[in-house]
Parts: sequence; C-alpha cells; structure tokens
Amino acid sequence: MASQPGTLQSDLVTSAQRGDADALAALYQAHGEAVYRLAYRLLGTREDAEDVVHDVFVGLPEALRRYEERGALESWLKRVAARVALMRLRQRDRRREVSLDAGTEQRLREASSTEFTGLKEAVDALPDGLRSVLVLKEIEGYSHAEVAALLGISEGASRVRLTRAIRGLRRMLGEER
Amino acid sequence: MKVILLHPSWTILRDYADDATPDSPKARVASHLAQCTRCRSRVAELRSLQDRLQRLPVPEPSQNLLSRIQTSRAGGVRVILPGSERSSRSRRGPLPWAAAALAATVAAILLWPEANERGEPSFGLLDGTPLLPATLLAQQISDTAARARYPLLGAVDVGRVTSGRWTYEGRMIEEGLDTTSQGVRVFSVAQAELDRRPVWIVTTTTTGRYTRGPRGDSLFLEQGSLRLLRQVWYYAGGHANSRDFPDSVRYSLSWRQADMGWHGTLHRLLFQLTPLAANWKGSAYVALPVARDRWKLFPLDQHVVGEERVHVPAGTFDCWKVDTKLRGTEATLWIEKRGQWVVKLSQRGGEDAVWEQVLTTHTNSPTAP
Repeated sequence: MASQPGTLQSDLVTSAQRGDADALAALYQAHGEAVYRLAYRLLGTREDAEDVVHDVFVGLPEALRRYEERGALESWLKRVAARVALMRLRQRDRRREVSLDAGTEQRLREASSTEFTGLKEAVDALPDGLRSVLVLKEIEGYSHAEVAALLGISEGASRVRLTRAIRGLRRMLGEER
Repeated sequence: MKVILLHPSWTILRDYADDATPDSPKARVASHLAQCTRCRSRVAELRSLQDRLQRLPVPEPSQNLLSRIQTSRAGGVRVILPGSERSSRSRRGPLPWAAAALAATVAAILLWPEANERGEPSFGLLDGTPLLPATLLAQQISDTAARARYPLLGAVDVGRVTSGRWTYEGRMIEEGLDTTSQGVRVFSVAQAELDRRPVWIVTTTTTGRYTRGPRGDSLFLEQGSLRLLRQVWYYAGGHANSRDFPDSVRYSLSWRQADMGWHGTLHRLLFQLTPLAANWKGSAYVALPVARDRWKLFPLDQHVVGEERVHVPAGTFDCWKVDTKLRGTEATLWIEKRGQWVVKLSQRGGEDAVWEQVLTTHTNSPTAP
C-alpha cells in the first residue's frame, strides 16, 4: 500500500464517488494500511481489523459523496474507520484470544523483541473503553477533543480514561510500585 | 531541603509529556520537575511507554483483502458508514449556522458594546456585576448559554447576604490515607461604608502551611447591586494594595486572588444568594480572567444531589450536597441548610488525591477587617 500524490487524490475521489473500481483500488492502496492499522489497534485481531477495512472500502464510494473536506482524506477515512471499529467493539464478544491464527502469533513473536514482551497482552487486557482512548490518543495521536468526539465522551473523561489505561498498563507490566 | 507539597497528577504529567499543557500550568509543571526526581522519572516513563506503544508490531493484512472488497462491491454489497457526514467536527447540534451567527452577533453587541483605549473590550452592561444574573442576557448570549448545563439563574437575591466569619482548615488526602494540612482559610462578610455608600466587605484570606503570614483580598461590594467598588489585596509579607472601580470594571472582577480558585470567595457568597432545594439545578455566569486583561464568561453549574448530615470540627450540620462544575473543574460542596454557608468542600486534587476544606469555627458577629 503506497501513498498517492495529492494531485491525483481528488481525481481518485471523484472517480471513486462514481463507483470506479480502479479508483477504489487505488484509494485502498494509498490508505488501506493506515485504516487497517488503526482498526487492528482498536480491535486487537487481524480478522476484526480486516472486516473493518472491508466495510469501510465497500461503503466508501457512497460515503465519499458526502465527503467535502479539503485534503486530509486519510484523516477523514481514519475517523470513519474508527467509528466502524468502535461500533464493532461495542457489539462483539471479547474473543480476541481465540482468533489469532498460529501464523500470526508466530509472526508477532518474531517481530516482538523483549521490549514488547507483555505490552500487547497488557493493552489487550485493558477494558474496551480504556484501550480505545489509549490507542486513539497515544498511538494514533488524536487530541483529547478528537477522542472525545469519536467516543461520545467528554474531554475530561478522555483524560481520566487515558490515565487509568496507563496506570493499568504499568500495573500489568510490573512498572508501578 | 526543598519542600515539594504536591506532585502533579498522572494526567497533568501525561499532557506535559505530550507537550499539550497550556503555557501557564506548563511553567509550573516545569518548575516542579526541575526539583522533583520522581516526577521527572514519571515523564520519562510516559514518553517511553508511548514510544513502545507506537512501535507495537501490527500483523500484515491478508493478501486477498482488496479482492474481497472488490468482490463485495461487484456483488452489490453496500455499507452505510457511520460518521461519514460532511465534517466530524461540526457536532454542535441542530442550530443552523445562520442563526448561530446572528446570535453571536447579538451577544457581541450586548456584551462588548465598547472597547477601552487599548482596544480591549469592557463588559459594558455587566460592569461590576460579579455574578451575572443573566436571565435577561441569557436569551442573547447563546453560545455561553449553550454551555450551561442547567437553567440559568435569574437575578440572585442580594438581600440574602448575611454577615459572618467562617474559618476552614484545608487538607489534602492522598491515596485515601495520608492527610496533609494545607493551612487555614478565613471567609468573612461585614457591613461597612465606603464614601458614605453602604457596602459589604467580603474578605478571604489564606494562611498556607509554609507561608509567612496570611494573604488574601477584600472586595467592597455595593449593597443592593453587589457592584464591585474596591478591591484590596493583602500579601503574605504584611503589605497591601488596592484598586478602586468608581465607574466601570474593565480589568478585574477578582473573585479570587487569594484562596484556592473559583470555589473560594465566589462559592461562599453565591450560596448565600441562591435558594437551594432538593434536586435544584442552576447555572450562573461568572466572569473570570483568561489572560492578562482579558476576561471571559463561563457558566457555573450547580446541582443539589442530596442531603447529608456532616460532622466537621465546627460541629454537626444538616447540609445540601451540591455538585458544581466550572471550566471543567468539578467539586462537591456541603451547604448548611438554614444559613447556606459552606461547611465542607471537596475536590479531586490529582489522580489519587482529594483536596478538602472543612469548617472549623464560625460566628455571626463579624468584624470588619
């Protein structure tokens, strides 16, 4: 998945709005990875993240007809993806632990140096409400105002949840007292 | 030996680590960090944790994901996406833009009808009214009104002001265990005259645990209107300073210069003026400084959430329990039912700390300072 030059993007958007399959594929190549990574971090499983990417890009041509923002298509896409992922998060049962296939687990183990040991497990063990804020704020770089808007909570609640998430992580990692 | 009274909360340190702390608190946090190894270490830990989180590996998606999408599209599958409206930032509700703009214009005309010689706005109609009894104005100050959680108070009953002297002990309770005294606050309301005009002198002083003496301020409020006529500041070193406001208050409606913020003087007087009852809710406008020589209106939201009998060093009192919120800061106050003075105040002072003030003595025989 590679980035597209900005000058092409508006043409792609226009074409994708009309349902052009090639334009949709190009948008997927350009932004699919960012959407997938966000979804994965929110949901914790490749299966769920792929479902989110699938839904976002299948619904994209129609959604783009309401897209009027200039620039920052990826930011808009990620907000949409975050909402889809959060809806999924609310609906699903917690089944992460059985959904990782053996290959994925192996790749993760290989990719994880000792500095990551336990960190993903600790993140996954956080309650959904805390993990969502942690992912959106600390990893994806949203402001508390943006996190609050995405999650339908106040900025203050976002701050509190982030603090609780961090303290929860530190406790699980044995870094807190 | 350096004395570090309070460590910033995790939330504050997190914002600091993210460089998201507003300038003023940021300077205070930086000053604290300069002398606190523990907090410096925490900031470093927070940055390290964020770095590790951002580098957590993410498995590659399936190679056939795009073809799965294309197959779905070709097969007629359609998904209606949430939140793909024009802009995710326009979450203000159904008020049309034109109406909002008109309301804002009206509010601007009413609130800032003139600017002073330096181009700074004055409060015009509101000069000298520390609590803005804003039912009339509320209809026009739409964006401020929209931020009030409860019905706006009508004109407060200035006849309810009663004189007296109330002394509080401040204390910080950390982790639910360690209690540290934070000094003494004294609040008094006394009758007096200023230039042959009857006034209330509302005084708040605080003596910190480690300060050399009391500091605080007195507000000289015209009886009947509560318009601020004079403010006197007292400093810990024993000297004082004052400012008169003969015509208008362009700069300072200081409901706090001393004490502990908005919930000090402001609340103590406000609760004398406001008739409380079970489940009562109300918001009032207060003018607070947001920068040097710049003021802004904020709604102060209050909600009676229950009744409790409270035991404090001054005695046992039947109280209204009131939750309050101003500028994102929340506190709970216990208000004595008959006289409506503050018996106890509680506010979170950090992630694991509660900051309290409890009434230790009170008298209805005040003396002017």
